[in-house]
Amino acid sequence: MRSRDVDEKPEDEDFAAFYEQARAGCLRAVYAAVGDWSVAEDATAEAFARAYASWRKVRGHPAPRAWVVRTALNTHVSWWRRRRREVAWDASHDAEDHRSPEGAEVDRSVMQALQTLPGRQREVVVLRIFLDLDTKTTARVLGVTPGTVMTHLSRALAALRAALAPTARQEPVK
Amino acid sequence: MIEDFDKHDGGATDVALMSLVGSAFDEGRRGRDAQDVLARGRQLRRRKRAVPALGALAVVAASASLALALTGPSGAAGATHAQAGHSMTANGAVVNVDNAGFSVHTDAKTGKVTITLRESVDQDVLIKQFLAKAGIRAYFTSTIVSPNAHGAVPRVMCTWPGATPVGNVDDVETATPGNSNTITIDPSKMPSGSVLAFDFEYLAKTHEEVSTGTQLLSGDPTGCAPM
Repeated sequence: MRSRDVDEKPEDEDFAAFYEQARAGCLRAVYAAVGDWSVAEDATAEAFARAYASWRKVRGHPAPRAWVVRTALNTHVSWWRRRRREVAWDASHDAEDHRSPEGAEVDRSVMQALQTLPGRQREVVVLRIFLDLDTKTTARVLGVTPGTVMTHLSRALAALRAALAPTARQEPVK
Repeated sequence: MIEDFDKHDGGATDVALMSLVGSAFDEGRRGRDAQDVLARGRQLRRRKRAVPALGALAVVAASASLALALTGPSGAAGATHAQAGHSMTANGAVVNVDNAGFSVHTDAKTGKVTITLRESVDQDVLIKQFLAKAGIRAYFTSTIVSPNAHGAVPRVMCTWPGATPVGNVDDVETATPGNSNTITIDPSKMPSGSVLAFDFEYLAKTHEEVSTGTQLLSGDPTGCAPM
């Protein structure tokens, strides 16, 4: 037991460095897919915990951040009978938001547009845009061909363009 | 960024659009504390180390039951009957049921199933039977929750003994705007052999139901082990 603890120390440090570097980006990507900060935090934390539990495998993955995001989306639970008490908790989180009004408007419009996309297109957007993965790595993570990724991305961008262009034109010019 | 968006007839270039989308949600949120994640990770690691031993026991037990079932007096016939039953539920029949506690309705055109829960049904055997008939393999469990220091009730993240998460429940389930008691499930989008697990969460003090979580699983869940 003692020797196992000693062996785990460098692994812990390695994982802690990965967590520090990846946590904000992964959380943002998961939020983009699920649309609720509280749910995104739960799912991302659980995914990182699973990454730690399988760290030897995950650190050899071509895109460990994508592994975390995919796992978070797969472990994502739908809390569909939320009661008022929990909604109040979400509202308190929102009150801590320090985004500018323009930034908040972009957030709202992008989230609305993302919510209209089918699940697989949203996953491609999350991996390609929010995690900045290339097409080949995205395809590998999703277990599809690069051509399929490009098709999903192209359709997603067309839908996002249609949804966001009018909003973007209404934005005050800086 | 917005100017780039406006420069082109018919909307933005892909680069400008991706840049606009990628700039969203940058609130500086960082998620859970590293120590919480590590503690949960260690718990999962311990459980993972314990699984092979439990798995070997389960295989022995399953083999013994199967041998008994096949060699018993009604073994072969029983197996055929079970297969026929499974096939029928997998296809999904049209179900239209309304009772005091719940409703289950199949849309005959789309095959989608709308479920309304009017009261807690985690102990209700009937609803599981109707859901199975409608093509949805369901598992119900309940957990007790307590408010945290902020007075809010944290949601329960379950690990599922006997099962593992599979697929994204959002691809299968559609919430009903303005009615938090009703959801619509598309059984055709459930991964083959998957189970839709419902976790009913109750307040420890009052036993008031605070939320219901659903998740897609593969395997045979035997409960929710909260993290």
